Amino acid sequence: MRSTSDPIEIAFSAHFQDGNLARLRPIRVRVAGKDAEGALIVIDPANGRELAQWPTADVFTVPSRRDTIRIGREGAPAGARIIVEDPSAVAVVRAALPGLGRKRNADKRRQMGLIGLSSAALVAFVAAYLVGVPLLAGRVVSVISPAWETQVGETVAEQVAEIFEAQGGFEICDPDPDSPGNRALSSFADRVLQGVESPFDVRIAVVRSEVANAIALPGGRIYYFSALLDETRTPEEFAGVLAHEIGHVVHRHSMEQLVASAGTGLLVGFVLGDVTGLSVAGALGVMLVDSNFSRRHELEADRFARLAAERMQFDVSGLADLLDRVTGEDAFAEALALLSTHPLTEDRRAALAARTPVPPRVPALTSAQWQAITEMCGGPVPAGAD
Amino acid sequence: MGELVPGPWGSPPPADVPIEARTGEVSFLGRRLALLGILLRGYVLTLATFGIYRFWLVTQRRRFYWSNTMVDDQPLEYTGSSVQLLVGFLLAVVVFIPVYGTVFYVSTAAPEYAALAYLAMFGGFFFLSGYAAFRGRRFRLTRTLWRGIRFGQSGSAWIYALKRFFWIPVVIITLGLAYPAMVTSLYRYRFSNTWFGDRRMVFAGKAGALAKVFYGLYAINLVLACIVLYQSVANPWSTTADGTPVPSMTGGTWLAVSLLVLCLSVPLYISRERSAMLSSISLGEARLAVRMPARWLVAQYLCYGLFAIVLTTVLFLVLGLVVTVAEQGAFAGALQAISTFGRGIGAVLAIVLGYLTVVTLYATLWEIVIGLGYWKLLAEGARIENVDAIETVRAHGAESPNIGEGLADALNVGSY
Repeated sequence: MRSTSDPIEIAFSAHFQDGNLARLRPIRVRVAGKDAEGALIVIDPANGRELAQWPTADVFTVPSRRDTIRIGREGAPAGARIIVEDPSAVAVVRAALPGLGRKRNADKRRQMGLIGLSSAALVAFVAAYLVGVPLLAGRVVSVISPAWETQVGETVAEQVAEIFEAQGGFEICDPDPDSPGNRALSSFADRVLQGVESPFDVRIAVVRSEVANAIALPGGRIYYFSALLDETRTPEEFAGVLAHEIGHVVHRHSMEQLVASAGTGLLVGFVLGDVTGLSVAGALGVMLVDSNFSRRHELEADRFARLAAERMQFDVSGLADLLDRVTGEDAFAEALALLSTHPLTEDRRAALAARTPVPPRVPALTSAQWQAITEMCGGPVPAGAD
Repeated sequence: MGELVPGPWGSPPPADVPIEARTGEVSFLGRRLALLGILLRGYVLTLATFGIYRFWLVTQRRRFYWSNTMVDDQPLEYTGSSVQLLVGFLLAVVVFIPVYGTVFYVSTAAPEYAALAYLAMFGGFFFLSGYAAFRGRRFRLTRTLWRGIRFGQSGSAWIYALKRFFWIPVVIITLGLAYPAMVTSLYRYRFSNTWFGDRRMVFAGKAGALAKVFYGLYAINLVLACIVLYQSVANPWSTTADGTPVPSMTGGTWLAVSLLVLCLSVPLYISRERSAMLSSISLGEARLAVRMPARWLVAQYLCYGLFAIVLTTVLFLVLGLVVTVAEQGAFAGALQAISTFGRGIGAVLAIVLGYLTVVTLYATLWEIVIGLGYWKLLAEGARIENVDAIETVRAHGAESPNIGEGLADALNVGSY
């Protein structure tokens, strides 16, 4: 045997379990030969009999408590171990077998590589998702029939009504479709949609609300809230907002948002490990991803409004003025705007101003139409009506 | 000389010599600071790897708990791999996608059934979480070695999930009175299907063992609830001069007493249940005996409560500081810088990170105080009578399932 010819004998006390029987026995281990070609010879201390011989090339350490060493052997039963717990024995093992932890370190490095690789893959996937989501959502929406979207829109409308009911009631101002105000609205919508292929009939309603906003639902419904109407000073501002919302309808943005949110929820759940999607972080994450997406939508709707304004020859920059006025009102509104899904007004103003046609300017609505619209909720007549 | 050495290679002691059955003690050597280090490092890496590292963190935590748990002077060894957890999770996600698609479709196409679809989904999740818990248990058991022998689990995860699922209505209908029967039934299924090597555990627990403590606490809390209810009707709130309602002294006292009793009942019941159920387990001639002292469990919850108050105060102070500084415009420049990329995204990102940090802090506190404390109490309260009888157990079975715990991870069931 190689070991017998070794000039210095290195040995230590340990315990041994063979991985076959739930028993532990004290042993003496002799380290024979040089590092990689050597072997650990397991000896029964009672009678000096050799119990096992583990080639150094086959042994590895497994994770264990600090200052203890547990050695396994490839090819041996999974639980076979030489267990070193005595501090002096641990020191002997570390000195005699410096390469003992090599396999575990290599494995650690492999795992690190794997972690790095899968993180990179995840980042790439998320990036691809962020870039691809408008494309994907657009594709998915293009195969959704407008009839279904209209149905979805009805559901959303019910939910919106429920939210309003909870806050004191849902009221459509001037529900008579043949009133001057409503006729003015639909004739404006018809003019905006002239020559544009829209999958839906656009139905505009003015809704009583404290919130200064306007929303487009899936399926062609548009709600202009009374508080925003109160803030609206000129027919151009009003027309700009409406044309913008009609742009959302024509491009089916609400439906795209719905589809995208579902996908994003899944993705965020994947990253956070909560696929049930019930955590607050999940909801916020969806918002984070979708806000980027909705910015694109806003810019797209702005472009639609600009083109409509060029065609109808009215001044669309009022849209940006109104946005400035509504969002820049107080610190609280500003704080909310941080979370807003709308792009910054500065960027939008620039987009709206791009390639603005030369005059002639025509009023977006006749003064009689504008008068009728401003009176729909019985509110005060804003200044600047011409 | 050979006879002095205990072990399979030595001859067994002669039958005529009376041997006193030796009891093996269980202890836990893990330090809270060491666990804190693992957790904090793990959370930072998890954040840096977009969540991927969490599978490695789970493995590290388990190694910590396992390797520090000494059973008859030998630690448990955890042999599970993080990659298996990662793959299992990926598969679980694949399973979930069609469920999501369906629910999304139903909620948009047939809104009148949307609530039903969500109810079905959550019912399904609850059912699946039973399946996942049992399967996850198998994953952990077959990756646990002691004295070089692997644990194992027979039985079917589907049957376990069904049992768990159908016990719920029974417990509800009986107003909770069937709870001890449910607990015992589930313990029986779990532990009579648990193996150590080639030897199967036997569970002899009876629901009756829980009856005294459960029904006793049930009755006390019920009586107190009735008194509080009665007080609120018979002894309504008085009003001060300016009309502010004030709870009457007796009513308030009873409410405080009943809440205190309820808070004490939970740890008391937990400790009794664990002690009674786990002490009903035997493996061949060896028997597990567990005595989990309730007062220490109560002390841990109190400790957690105190630390949580401290943590909350600190967090509010930090929040107040941030708001003050931001208001004074010190961050105006920073906000401006962020806004070049999109102010909204920066703010939402900050909120998400802040939220995750806060949740992580509380979760860490919970694990350091209660998670580790509970494990330590359980371990140190346990001992194995006639532990030498285990020495004849032979290795049996292999790691199973190969891909681990995905569903359990996705549904967030199964701790440690």
